[in-house]
Amino acid sequence: MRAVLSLGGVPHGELQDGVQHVRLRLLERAARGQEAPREVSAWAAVVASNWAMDYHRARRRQERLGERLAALHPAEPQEDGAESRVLSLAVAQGLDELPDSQRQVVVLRFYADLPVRDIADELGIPEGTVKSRLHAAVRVLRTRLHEGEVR
Amino acid sequence: MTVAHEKPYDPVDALTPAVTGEPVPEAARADERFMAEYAAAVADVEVLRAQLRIVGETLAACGPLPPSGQLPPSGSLPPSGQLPPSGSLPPSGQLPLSGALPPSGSLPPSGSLPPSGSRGPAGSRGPAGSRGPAGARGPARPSGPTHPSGTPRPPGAARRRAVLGLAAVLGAGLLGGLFWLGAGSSTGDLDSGAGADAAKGAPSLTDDRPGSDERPGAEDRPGAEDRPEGAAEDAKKSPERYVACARLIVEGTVQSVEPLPEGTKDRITLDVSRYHKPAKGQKQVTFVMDVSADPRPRTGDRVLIGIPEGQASPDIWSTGGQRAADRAWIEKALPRARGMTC
Repeated sequence: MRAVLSLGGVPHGELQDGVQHVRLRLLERAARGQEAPREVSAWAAVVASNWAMDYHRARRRQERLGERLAALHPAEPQEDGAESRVLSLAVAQGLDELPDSQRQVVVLRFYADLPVRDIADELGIPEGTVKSRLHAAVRVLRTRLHEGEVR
Repeated sequence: MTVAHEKPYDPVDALTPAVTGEPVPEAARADERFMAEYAAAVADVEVLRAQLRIVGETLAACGPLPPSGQLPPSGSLPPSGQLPPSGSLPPSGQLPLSGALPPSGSLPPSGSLPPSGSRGPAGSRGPAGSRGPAGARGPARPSGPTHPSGTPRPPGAARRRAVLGLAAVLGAGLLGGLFWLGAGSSTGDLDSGAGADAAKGAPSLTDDRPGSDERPGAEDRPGAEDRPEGAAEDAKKSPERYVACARLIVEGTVQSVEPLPEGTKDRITLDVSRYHKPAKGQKQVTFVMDVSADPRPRTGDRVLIGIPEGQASPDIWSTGGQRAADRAWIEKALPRARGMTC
């Protein structure tokens, strides 16, 4: 869940707030007598990603993942990790470029591994919209990945 | 199924099925260019998945740089090498389930190390990343007998070396990326429990199967007697858990081996003859493997592969007679694995 929040651009210092929000939502469901979500982890991922989007709207600020990653310098160059470092930075920068709505579905599909149908159900949007956002987002991210590979 | 009942496919959009996981239309399968683009898209999606995990879990674990700007010493591996269940709810003040993130500021479990209990490729021997086909080339190997519990055990010393070698390759490559991205400051947290043992190298792959202390040959595996969790940790790692935590387990024939531009990985396309997990899927799957694997896969090889959640490459690559042995424990584990969460 912390990773979902981080991929949504929530700063490290705010992650615990996001986690607590999700926990509270689950407790509220129980208090209202609602059944537990069929897939708790999937439900929690969606709630967390929604919280991340709301966080940005409220704060009008978004942590740029690429900057955060780029700031974490090794003390010495790590040759073995060079390729992974480049790819990770490429993905982070690609996520920074995406609109929140595309970023959210990318994280839910490829980090939380939710099927398209479940994403559509949880977000209350048509499956076609999810596919369209995914398609557009992955095109951007693939371009970034290939730039990272070729370097 | 007749082609006439299928909606026509967009010959330029090989990305959509790769992104959505939908089956490729039959009409498209005859289009070599489409299938090549589709395979490339699938491979890129797998790389994206792996990198998202690395980025997300690193940023989730790492706060601002420590004042000294120092990174933790290399070699300190996350506990148990397991991914935290994505989206799992932590108890108050705590972090998610087994093998999950240590307290804030520490390294995340990479999620990219093979889950404990998994076994590396069959038949490999020698240096890290080597994968020799069991029984297909070179001297024949006995297929692994299974413990009465059904837990598979490696057939011999060569296999154990291979497992350790594969783990070292996977661990080194992915750890390198993790450490660049920034290990947290509280590395002391990683020195407890399974983390300490994992930090010794990759013995956790072979050490963590259930009942390892009881099975013949357990004394041969390095570090098994040093793990503080002992049987409790073993209980967490099992064929059922490997299967539960696997993203893909299939058998098939290598259709193509394509070196990637950066020169360190091959893109492997497999014609699937049998799905174990999920129960069904595409007729072809594509994934990447490190070129340091020895021998490299060849077109026509008949293999059984297992790819854990969050990984782009298989941590099980069985050929020859070992396929039957691995198939046996996978099939036995599947029913219980369905009820397990990872």
